[in-house]
Amino acid sequence: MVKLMIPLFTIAACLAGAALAAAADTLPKADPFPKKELDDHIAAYMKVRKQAIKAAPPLKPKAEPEAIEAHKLALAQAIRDARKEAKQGDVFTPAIQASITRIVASETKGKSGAPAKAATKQGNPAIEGPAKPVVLKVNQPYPKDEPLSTVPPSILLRLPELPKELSFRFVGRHLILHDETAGIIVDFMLNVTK
Amino acid sequence: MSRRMISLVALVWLPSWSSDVQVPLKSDSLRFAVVGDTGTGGRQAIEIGSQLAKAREKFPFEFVVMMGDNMYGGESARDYEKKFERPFKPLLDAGIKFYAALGNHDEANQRFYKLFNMNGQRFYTFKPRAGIRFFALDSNYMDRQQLEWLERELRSSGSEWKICFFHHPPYSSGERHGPSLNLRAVLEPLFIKHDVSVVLTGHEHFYERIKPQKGIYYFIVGSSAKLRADGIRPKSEITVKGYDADRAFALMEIAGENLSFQTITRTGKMIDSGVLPRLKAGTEPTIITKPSSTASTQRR
Repeated sequence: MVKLMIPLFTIAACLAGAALAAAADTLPKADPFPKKELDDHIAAYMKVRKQAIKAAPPLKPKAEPEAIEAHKLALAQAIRDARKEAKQGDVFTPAIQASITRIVASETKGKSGAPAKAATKQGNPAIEGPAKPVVLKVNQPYPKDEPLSTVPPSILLRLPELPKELSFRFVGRHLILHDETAGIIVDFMLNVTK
Repeated sequence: MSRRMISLVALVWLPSWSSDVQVPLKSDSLRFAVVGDTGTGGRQAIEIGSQLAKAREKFPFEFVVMMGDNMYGGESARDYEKKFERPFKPLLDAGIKFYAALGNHDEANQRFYKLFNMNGQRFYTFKPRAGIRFFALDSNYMDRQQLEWLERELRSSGSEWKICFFHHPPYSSGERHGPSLNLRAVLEPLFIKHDVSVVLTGHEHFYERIKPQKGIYYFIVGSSAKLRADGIRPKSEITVKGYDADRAFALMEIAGENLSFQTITRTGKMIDSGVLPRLKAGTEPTIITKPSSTASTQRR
């Protein structure tokens, strides 16, 4: 009896699951973004950064160029020292990469996505920058001669918010996580746009 | 004439900036200058700085707003000197304040530079006169935080004149970049809802005054050092005046309900001027212009 009930229960559960799945297809799909996972990795980076910034000379909201440069270089070096073992995918894990790629694809596809796709090319160093390519490497300084890409608002409004010290930026078809003050590549993911 | 039938009467064109100042120079007005895409450190940037200083002798403006791309290439301490402080030295020596927006060639660290008056912020606001407020935006990265801030600030500003300035133009006849449609989609509803009067931008390396769009004036001043000759799409329906034959900057004066402006090249030639009454954002004004100031694009 028990043996018979188990398969019956399984079949019923499968049918119910199928019905739910069918119903779910008619509803708008929520972004199953692994937000907590990203938040945790970002928080870990920010913790390292908070320590690193102590090694840099302080930067006031109204500073001289020398102070800005000194702060940037010292902060970048301190972050690099503290993240020697950092590698691609530490922040952009496979699950996060998949979610971001899906969001970018949905916002840039077709006629309705054309303005967003065009915006990803604005300031994109692979398109508007000098001839030499940006080397994508964790902890690498973002090249000083290269522009920073625009990130279309339609994409930003669907991605999780970052602390103000960080930004998403496009480099060619790829996406980097950029430390805005230290000017370094925190992480990157490949082939986000087509 | 109905309330919505607002007439815009442009001033006649005048032969040369150096010969005369055509803006009203009213005693209680606000006067400022507009430059964009200045950060080359090259000869043309120096000539624009010099022409601005000359202009100030006749048109004593209080400050300069910068549309971004304030520094191309490196941003070492030496670059700040070469690409900003040297070209604008006469104005800086005279105590003229600069308020910068960030372009796609600018590191975000420029927000800490004391002479850009950004106070460490990518986006910020300032109110130089009662009833007039400026909003500097970072159009490279228009995220939720910035949009919410903008809405909050616009709603609470209480100023009649709300002037937004940033790098990427929502409207443009540029052949290279064209309008930033994605940006327009999120900003224009806020501009209309909160009655923004004027939008100043750069990015395109030319000068363009756009026909009022939904009751808002749009200017592109992106040729204060770099120039994209023949960069304006010919016969664009949105252009009132386009100029892509030389570097340029603009002078503006707000007095009461009117904004007067003159656009000047690095050689001192005046290429555009007019008086624009403040409109109600969201309305479609009827434009009446004199024949000499009908839509035109001047090219090489």
